[in-house]
Amino acid sequence: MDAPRTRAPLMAHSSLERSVDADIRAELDSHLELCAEELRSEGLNPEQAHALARERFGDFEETQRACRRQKLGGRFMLQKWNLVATAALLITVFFLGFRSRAQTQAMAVLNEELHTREAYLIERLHAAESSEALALEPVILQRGDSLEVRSTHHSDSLGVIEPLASDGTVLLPELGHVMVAGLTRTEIEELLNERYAVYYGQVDLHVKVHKGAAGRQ
Amino acid sequence: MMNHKRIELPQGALELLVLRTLSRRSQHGYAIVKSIRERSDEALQVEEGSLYPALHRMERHGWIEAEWGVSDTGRRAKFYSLTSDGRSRLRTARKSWDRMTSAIGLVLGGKAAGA
Repeated sequence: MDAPRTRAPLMAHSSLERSVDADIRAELDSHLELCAEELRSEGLNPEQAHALARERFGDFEETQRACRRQKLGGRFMLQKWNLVATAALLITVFFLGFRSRAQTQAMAVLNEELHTREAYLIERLHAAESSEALALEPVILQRGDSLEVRSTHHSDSLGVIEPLASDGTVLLPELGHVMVAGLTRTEIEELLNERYAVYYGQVDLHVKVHKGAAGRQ
Repeated sequence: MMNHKRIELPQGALELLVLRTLSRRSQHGYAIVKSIRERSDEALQVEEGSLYPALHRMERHGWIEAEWGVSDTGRRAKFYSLTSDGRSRLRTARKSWDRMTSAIGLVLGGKAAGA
């Protein structure tokens, strides 16, 4: 008589385990054969005897599994725990690796963001410095501009507003035509203080540029 | 006499019954079931789902040993026999059983007397 073979024995890995499984199955098959044989001797036909023997036996596969657990005992449990421990270890390693990689990626993203922000701030700073520098950039005298020259100590004689001539000079008292085109206000102030010092000594001269039409555009 | 009311085996009884059955002679699983059923006047029916795991457990403990042989009807079967450890175990288990049944009897008897 064939016992039900719908499912293979659980986790038959080693030759020992395969041997144990085969031994258990053979024993349970033998039990069914002996039972069916007796039922046949009582008058049942082979099919009826087989069916009744199976019915009386109960859950064949569960009995087989229970026998296997008993037979292998600690070895079976050890193997199970080994499997569980190995699986847990692998999961832990995988999890740690994944977390480490995720952290690395997060750090990379954060670094990139920080660099971007840093670059942005530096750019903003440079822009601010440039605009400030532009705001403080000295005015260069150009054609059409006028130059106002005043002295704190000699306001009566040194107080004029003169336009820039086409040759880039400005006509000033005592000094005549002085080339100022292309100079900044500070440079002009230094230049004139130096020139007038010959005549007046300390003059404390201040220069102011009045931009012409071309400069205002 | 046929007793049609089957009795559920209490804890530890199956082991004791199997050891006692095998103390008479080596038998295969099916014969053990039959022997217990017949000797109990059909009152004790050992389930195969309980018997075979118990046999393998007892074999692992070294109380019984198994050997493939041939049944009376010429079929291949696995025969179990008692080892010396098994005999020792049988004596211990039987004493425990006797003490337990005596104690239970005392309790039940006392209850009956008081009732």
